[in-house]
Amino acid sequence: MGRGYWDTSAYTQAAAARRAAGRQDFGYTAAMRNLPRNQRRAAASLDAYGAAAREACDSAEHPASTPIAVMFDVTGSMGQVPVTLQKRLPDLLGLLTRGGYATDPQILVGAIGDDRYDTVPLQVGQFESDNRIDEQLRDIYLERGGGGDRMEGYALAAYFLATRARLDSLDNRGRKGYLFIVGDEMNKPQLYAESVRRFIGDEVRQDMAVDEVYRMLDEKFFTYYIVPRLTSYYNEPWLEDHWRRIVGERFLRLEDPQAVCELIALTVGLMEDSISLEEGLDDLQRIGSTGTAAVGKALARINRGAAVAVATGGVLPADL
Amino acid sequence: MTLTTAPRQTIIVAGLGYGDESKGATVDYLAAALPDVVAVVRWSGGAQAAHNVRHGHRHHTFSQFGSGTFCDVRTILRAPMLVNPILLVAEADALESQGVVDPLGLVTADANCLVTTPIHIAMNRAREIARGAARHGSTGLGIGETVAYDLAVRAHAKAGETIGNFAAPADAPSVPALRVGDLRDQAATVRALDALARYADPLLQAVDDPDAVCGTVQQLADELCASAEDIAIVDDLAGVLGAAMDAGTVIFEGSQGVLLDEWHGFHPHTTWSTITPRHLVGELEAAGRRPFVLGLTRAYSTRHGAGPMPTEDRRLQLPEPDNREGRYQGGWRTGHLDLPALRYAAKVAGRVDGVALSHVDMLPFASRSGVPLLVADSWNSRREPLGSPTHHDLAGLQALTRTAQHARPDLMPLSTDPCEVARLIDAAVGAPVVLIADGPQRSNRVLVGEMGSNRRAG
Repeated sequence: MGRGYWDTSAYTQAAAARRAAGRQDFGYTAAMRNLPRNQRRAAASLDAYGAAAREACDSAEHPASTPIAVMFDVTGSMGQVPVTLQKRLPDLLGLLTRGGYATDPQILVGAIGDDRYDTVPLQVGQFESDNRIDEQLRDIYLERGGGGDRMEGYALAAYFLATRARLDSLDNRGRKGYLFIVGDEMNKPQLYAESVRRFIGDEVRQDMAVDEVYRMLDEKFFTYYIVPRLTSYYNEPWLEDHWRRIVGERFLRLEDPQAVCELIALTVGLMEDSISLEEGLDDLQRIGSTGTAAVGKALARINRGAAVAVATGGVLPADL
Repeated sequence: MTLTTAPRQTIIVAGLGYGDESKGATVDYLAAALPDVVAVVRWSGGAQAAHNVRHGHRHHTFSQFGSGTFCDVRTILRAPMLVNPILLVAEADALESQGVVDPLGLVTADANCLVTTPIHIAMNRAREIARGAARHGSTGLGIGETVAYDLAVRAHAKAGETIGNFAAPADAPSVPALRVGDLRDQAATVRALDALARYADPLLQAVDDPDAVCGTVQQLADELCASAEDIAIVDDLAGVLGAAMDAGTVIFEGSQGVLLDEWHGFHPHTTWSTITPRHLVGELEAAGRRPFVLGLTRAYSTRHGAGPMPTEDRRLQLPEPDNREGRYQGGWRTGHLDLPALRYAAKVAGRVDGVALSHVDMLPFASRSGVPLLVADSWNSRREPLGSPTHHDLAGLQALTRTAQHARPDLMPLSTDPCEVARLIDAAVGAPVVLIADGPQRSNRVLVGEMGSNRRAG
């Protein structure tokens, strides 16, 4: 997986072609809606069940891959934000490469639902370095479920990536990948063994502590939690308390949901030491992003962390 | 026969009161709890439905969309349901802001459904304003006018003739009433609207309605046709429905309650719609299906607007998050559990296979508030004062209304234990309580399934 160069105009052309052909952007979602609920499935490229691995590989074309995973909550509480992300995430690779924020970025996209109540609570694409991301985003089924208990299946996604991600950056160069979870609710009290069996296919017998799952994940990824405004629980203190215990400083509140890509790109740029926050924000200003201020505000706290990292010689402490 | 999580069930949800029996919340719960739900079918009423669904942070008052929408279950609009395309688009906007993706993509409409237009709504309001104090409890959404106009056209009614209890404002035109299928053809839509506008004109001119909609027929046609563009309109609705029922569980979501049925309710405080599922059951059985009729009732009575309500008690002050006074509909009323009315409702429904009992949390609440809920087992010592429903003529319907108006309910204490109340209802309806709700949320509902097992949905 993950060959070919990103061409921003390809997305524009594809979108125009779809419009011309009258094809809905919600094609996969529309197809699922005609099926009984219990027959709805993730598209093959996004199906987590029985999947052996999600690989971010170095290659001749991409010798120093930087794995970046973006998993977003698609339950009802997220309002229209998942649709916004489905539209905007194709911009991410362009932002990263044009700005030179990371070497050979490889992007994986996926969706998180409620493993207790939804039919398709986990969808995980492949690491890609071209506009196949666009196809996978379109194939995400926006189920818009959720249990109404302010908890979603984030830990199931964390477990999947902890056990399935194979990162050359880590194995060959000792560099972890980046994971951005975009959501607005808490983890379930535990990772249910039944969910792992049912949606991933691992014969797990015991429920797992959520902390343990994120500890496993931490061996492979720096995990960020982004909560965008216009979701149901944006301002709730319990949400921040919950996620700060898991991701620490990497809990980011974003005032402008349209700016998720910019936030992710600049975060990666900062952590890779490719840019300063000011340079990144200047870049956004230059390309006419309307989310510059929101991104600056979201990153204010992280930026202080980056300054410390630079002072220690540009190498980030493993537990930042 | 019982309600289970078995695949490919056909479930008809019908209110056994005057409306407001938690149809929305029940359909939403079933769509979440039954694994293979594939469609919700609206088959009666129109945009006047107000079916509330609450799940976690989400709340919507479903009007034309099926109440399974939060579960991403599609909606089929089947004649004789009346479709108001402009309000449908407005509802889609509201649903989109509640996180539903491409809501209109969920809708399939029967080409044969009559269309309710702003002209019908203006006629409805004009008549209610003219009636003044003698209001019928109309929701002001042009439901009766839509049906009456179609009847007038088909009967070639002359000006002044009475259609139901409506006077025809003008000679009925020869152009058929507008149907959803016509919206695919701009010219046909303009023709139908022109005829309707001419028919309505004497009525609208006679009343000063500050909210009256003014616009050209051409503008109206443009708006209606554009509104219909994003939904699937099908000529072979039976085929679509059959395919859905072959694929999975289909829920038929009734509107209002059988005590408002046009032929069995307390005339004229009824709706222009057949609420009883009798015909639907017959049609489904003829097509080889075995529908389960789920009758809905609260643990007490409620009624919106005017009309007989024997157990009404103005001292009852129970919290009601969703029902507000409607300008044309009148006030919100609460009364004790009315078993004679329930017995009659069950007979009107024709067949009830199970009962969903809601609002049982109000039993202890009322008790604590000092005005406990009571139960009437009889009116004037008669347990079945309304007799058996027949296909009434107007005189018969008026006699029914008189009986209800003069009813003196024989009230007795009512247990606050939902199981005790369920037993009373079970006996009155002649079918077991299969679903109990103790609050407005999806998570407040529980399916009392086979062998005492139960299942909660999220």
